[in-house]
Amino acid sequence: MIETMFGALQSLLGSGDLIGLMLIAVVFGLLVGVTPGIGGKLAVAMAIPFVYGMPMIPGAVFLLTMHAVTGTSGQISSIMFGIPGDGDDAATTLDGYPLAKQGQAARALGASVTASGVGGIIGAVVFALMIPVLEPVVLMFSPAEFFLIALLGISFIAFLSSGDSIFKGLIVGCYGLMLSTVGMDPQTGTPRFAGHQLFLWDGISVITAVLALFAVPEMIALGVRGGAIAAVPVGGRTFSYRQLLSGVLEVPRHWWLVLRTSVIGAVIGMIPGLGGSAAAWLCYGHAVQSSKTPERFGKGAIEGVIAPETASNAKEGGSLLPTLFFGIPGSSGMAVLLGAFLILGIQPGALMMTQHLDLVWTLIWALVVGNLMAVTILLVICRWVAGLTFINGRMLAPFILVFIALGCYVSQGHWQNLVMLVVLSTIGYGLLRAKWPRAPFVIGFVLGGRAEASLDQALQLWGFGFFLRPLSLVLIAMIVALIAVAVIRGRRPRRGAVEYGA
Amino acid sequence: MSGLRTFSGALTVVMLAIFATMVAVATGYPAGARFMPLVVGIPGIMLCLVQLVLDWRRTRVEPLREGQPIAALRGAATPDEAGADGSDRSVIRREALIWGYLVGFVAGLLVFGFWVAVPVMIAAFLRFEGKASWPVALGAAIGAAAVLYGLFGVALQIELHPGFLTPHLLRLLGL
Repeated sequence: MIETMFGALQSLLGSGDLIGLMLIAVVFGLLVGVTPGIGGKLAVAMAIPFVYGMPMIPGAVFLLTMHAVTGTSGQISSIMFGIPGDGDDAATTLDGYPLAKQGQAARALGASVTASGVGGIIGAVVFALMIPVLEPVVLMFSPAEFFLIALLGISFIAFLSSGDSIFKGLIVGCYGLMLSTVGMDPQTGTPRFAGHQLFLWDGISVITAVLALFAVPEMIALGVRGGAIAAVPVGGRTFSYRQLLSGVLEVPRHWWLVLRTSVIGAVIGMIPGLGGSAAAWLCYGHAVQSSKTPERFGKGAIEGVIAPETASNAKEGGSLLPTLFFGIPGSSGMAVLLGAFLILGIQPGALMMTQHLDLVWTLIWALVVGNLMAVTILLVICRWVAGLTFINGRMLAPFILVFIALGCYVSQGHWQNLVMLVVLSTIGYGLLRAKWPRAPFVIGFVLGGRAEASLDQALQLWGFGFFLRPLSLVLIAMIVALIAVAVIRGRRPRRGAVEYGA
Repeated sequence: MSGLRTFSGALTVVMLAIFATMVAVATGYPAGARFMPLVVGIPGIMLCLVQLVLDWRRTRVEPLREGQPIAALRGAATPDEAGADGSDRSVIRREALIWGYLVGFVAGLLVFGFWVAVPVMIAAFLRFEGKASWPVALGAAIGAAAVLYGLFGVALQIELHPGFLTPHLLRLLGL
């Protein structure tokens, strides 16, 4: 394993192409992260067409790096203007904005960017340390368990993303599974739901489906609401590189807090669906509780900036673990990333341990190197990047639309995919409008083919008795327990909605 | 059914219709081919029915108050989404407009191809929705077309959809 680990690092650093791709991904990811209205999910969805046809490793490294660094630049608007880019950054606002108002914006930015990068690196290390622990567990899984794992993945995301009703998430997951059956049946060669449309015989394009469910609805929402933060005055914020450096040095000064919150963030990332918001708020609370002077929090405590930033970026390393080894995305962003990985030919599961460990290590190193690149670049340019928060979303919408159309068409060269995009987008936007979760769709859709193949294999090997295998029973019990807990939770009066990352 | 008055309830009915149609179609396939659609579709139908009952029960417990903003019922929770007047009419109008751009753009792509539809849509959107000046809108459209040509036409050598009409028009014009 040690040989594979360092071999992967050598391949990554020794390849000019990979480093170049990572650099592009970092710059793109940072710009996307700071621009209002475009999150990591949309960025990955838009980038999928450009990695289509790429070899597995460069494509995966590009997408993962881009996804991982979008959060690093997201806190700029939280600190400079008191407006969080997304839920992950809201906790940073509590102390980051007061620091900026005290004329210490650069110090807060230096600390948050460095903490974010260090958190990302520690998250990758935690993931790496978990590999030998998880190996025997992953290798125990047979086709029977993989079918149930797909169902568990949908149930997990549905449970954590649907708020008060798990059924909405399950319906969306079933919709994804159902659409995955469109096309030639692998057993009988019957074209299912395809009629005489030859382009459907290979199934609905994954790229078209992901773009329709994630990118188009976000683009429409962006076009409807705009999204600029132009109302916030930028003047009066002092910025000096000396202050920035003092902020950077706050991270090693609070190394114990950084380590604790990074590990907590990574562990939260491993729990599918909890997302960055939960990690950031939990670690903010931890920083307050463990401080000797908790009264400083909310008024400009630097620990209040460091803790949520390390946690929200460390969770990326953690959430990669269930995504790669079990096919259960750790977050909705990872769900889109998982779809992209499958397009690149990466099959999550035991094979990642046995045949593609080099890829796993390359991805871990990509997280480390990508975060280092992002921190270095962002510390230099953060002063100017802040200006991007003033871009009106409506100015971005047509360009995003062009990206979407290109991605949809270029992936297979079928004009019919453009029609399919519009049709599927109506459901995608409906889900967004009704506040239904969309992540279960991606899991159902991308894992549908594999789930069907696993079910067929399991039935051939054990008949319906496969449900009675010990591990299958454990998985079934988990699915039933999840649904039961969700139903009980839904019947209780709500004490406050919690928004998860789907 | 009062649950249908919410956007979420209507969406559940749409999902139910999709599952029911797909299950009905699947029953005509050979046994091996219909297995998975039925394994997924039948639970899908049941889940939709459960969700409809839940929606119905919820709207009975919390009956829709007269005068309650439509936006709140349709899921537009924030005042920003709901519009300044508390109704979601302005949101619906904007949604319809953006959908119009999307559908129009895709129709333009199919009929006239990427090289025509992309600059036209960008210029129109920036000018009329982004309130950009004509020089900025046209500059962005020409810039985008140039990048498109450089990336797909020259660098990647990928042929983009030329449109159903454009090649005929070019032939008529002798180009």
